[in-house]
Amino acid sequence: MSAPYVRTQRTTWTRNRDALIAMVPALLAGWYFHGLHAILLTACVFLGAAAGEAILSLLIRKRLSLGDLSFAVSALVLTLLTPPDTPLWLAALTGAAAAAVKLAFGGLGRNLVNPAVLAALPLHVLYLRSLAYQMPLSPLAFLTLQANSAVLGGSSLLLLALGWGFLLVRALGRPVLSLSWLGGAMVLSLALELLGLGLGGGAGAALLRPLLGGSLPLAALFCASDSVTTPVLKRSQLILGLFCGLVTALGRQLLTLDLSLLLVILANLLSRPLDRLFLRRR
Amino acid sequence: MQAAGPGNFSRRFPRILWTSGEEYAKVKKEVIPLNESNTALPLAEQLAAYGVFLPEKTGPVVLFLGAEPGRPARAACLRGDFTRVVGGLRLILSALEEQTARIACWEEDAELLRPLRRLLPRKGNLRFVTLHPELGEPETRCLARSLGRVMVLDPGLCRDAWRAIYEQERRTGRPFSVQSGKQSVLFDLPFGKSAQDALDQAGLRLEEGQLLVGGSLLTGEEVRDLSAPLPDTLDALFLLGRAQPDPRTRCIRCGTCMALCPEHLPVFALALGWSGDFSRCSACGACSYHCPQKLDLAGLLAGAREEAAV
Repeated sequence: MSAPYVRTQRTTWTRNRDALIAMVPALLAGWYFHGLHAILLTACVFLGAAAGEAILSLLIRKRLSLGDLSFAVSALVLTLLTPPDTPLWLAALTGAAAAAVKLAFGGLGRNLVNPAVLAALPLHVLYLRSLAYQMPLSPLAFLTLQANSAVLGGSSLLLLALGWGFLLVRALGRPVLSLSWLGGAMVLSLALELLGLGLGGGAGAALLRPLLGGSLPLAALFCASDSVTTPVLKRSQLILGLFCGLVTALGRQLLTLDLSLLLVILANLLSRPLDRLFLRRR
Repeated sequence: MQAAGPGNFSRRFPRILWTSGEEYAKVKKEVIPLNESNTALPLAEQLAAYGVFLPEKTGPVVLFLGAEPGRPARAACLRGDFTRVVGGLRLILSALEEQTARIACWEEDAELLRPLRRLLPRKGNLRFVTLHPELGEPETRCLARSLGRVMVLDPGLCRDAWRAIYEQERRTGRPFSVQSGKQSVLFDLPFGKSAQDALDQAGLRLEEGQLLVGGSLLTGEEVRDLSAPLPDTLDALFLLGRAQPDPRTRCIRCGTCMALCPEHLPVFALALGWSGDFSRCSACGACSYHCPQKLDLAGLLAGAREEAAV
């Protein structure tokens, strides 16, 4: 009773700052593996997002909200989702597109879908390699810090996981959604392998395959950590995560397509109805 | 000099009424011997000496302390049942946010503040101190959960805190008022004068889109007639900035409200315009205080409870 109780209050700014910090390791890995062009890409996406938000805010006479860092979070997610050989002008344009998507929904808190993912999708269609399924480099990629090279943020699974761990420590993110998505994909991949429907390589490779050679870790760990576009209730998170995980694994094994970014959009659209459904039933 | 005793004092000055200038200085002078000669007075009487009367069954009293270089110390005392205080407190705290006091400014009062400083975190700003000697453990825990920093002090320490504030005021010779951005809080209201006078005295103006609230933010009412004399039951005037935008457009669905709610209620549903059963809400205000978007969730919850009752 005599001890002082200390607890700090957090604002949207601190939340966004923590989200940025969490993504920095993966970004650094991208820079390391892809060199100068990756650094220039990052700068272009950020400039595009900031300029896009500033100009569009002026045009629609909305108060400029660069201060809450939400533009930076969108830009960083977008950077991580950018294929490393995207031309710089296209990266800047995509950054501006993300800002436009965000403002089109009405700003922070009103987004139905993750603006960065929606803006990144055209890039992935243009640069088909990243949507098409790629064989994982090796099961050891997890340890040797190599993962999917199709997108900038996929350079290091380990550092992605490290950043996500930081999000969890800061009580951000949606752990139930992320883990059920990854878990669902891994378990189904394993099950298909054991049933003889998999892509071969043994049980270990089947377990690791969803994690390697695609955007799933990025989608499940970071895109699914955006609070605005994901379910709040744990029950909704679990159901949505399992659903996305199963579809991801099926898409990989049967269609050899990486559906994780499309699934992020689908999950975004389903999150509010799911939350509402479970709140009604309580 | 009158016979010492807070009773006499409070009868003569039934409220915190002092204004700047001579009258203020006079009141202060009379407070000095009162405090120094009655160092063992119970908390309630100490507070009464400042025109603050506790209810029969003493509820918690929350005291803001503050001082910063070149500015007078600030203090505000809220009373009533603490669940109502907490909600209002959040809004006042956000008004104070940028001007939160640093205890370091009170170096000169080291003698008085030594016991207080022992209780404070070494770094950071002093936010507020609760002054309820009989706060039970559940309440303390709830307060600690819902508010930033809670210090539970014994009455002896409270007395020191009060003395420190008032010493600081005496040095600067100014009444306290707080301004932060578009929000202003006036704690010293000119007795028998109108709201307009109070605003004039503080150099403030009620502008388009601003709201003037008398009393406290949760229990107070909007002051519509600026020229009418202020009732002497008012403790404070709040000049608030533009009305908050529709919370539905600002909720980022982070789930903090639900995570910190003692009843684990899905408060965010209200901010999204959904309905639900919120009858178990104890109005502790934790959701409001911790909302990163600073939405008035306590207000929304109060509305939901009223609707359910109708």
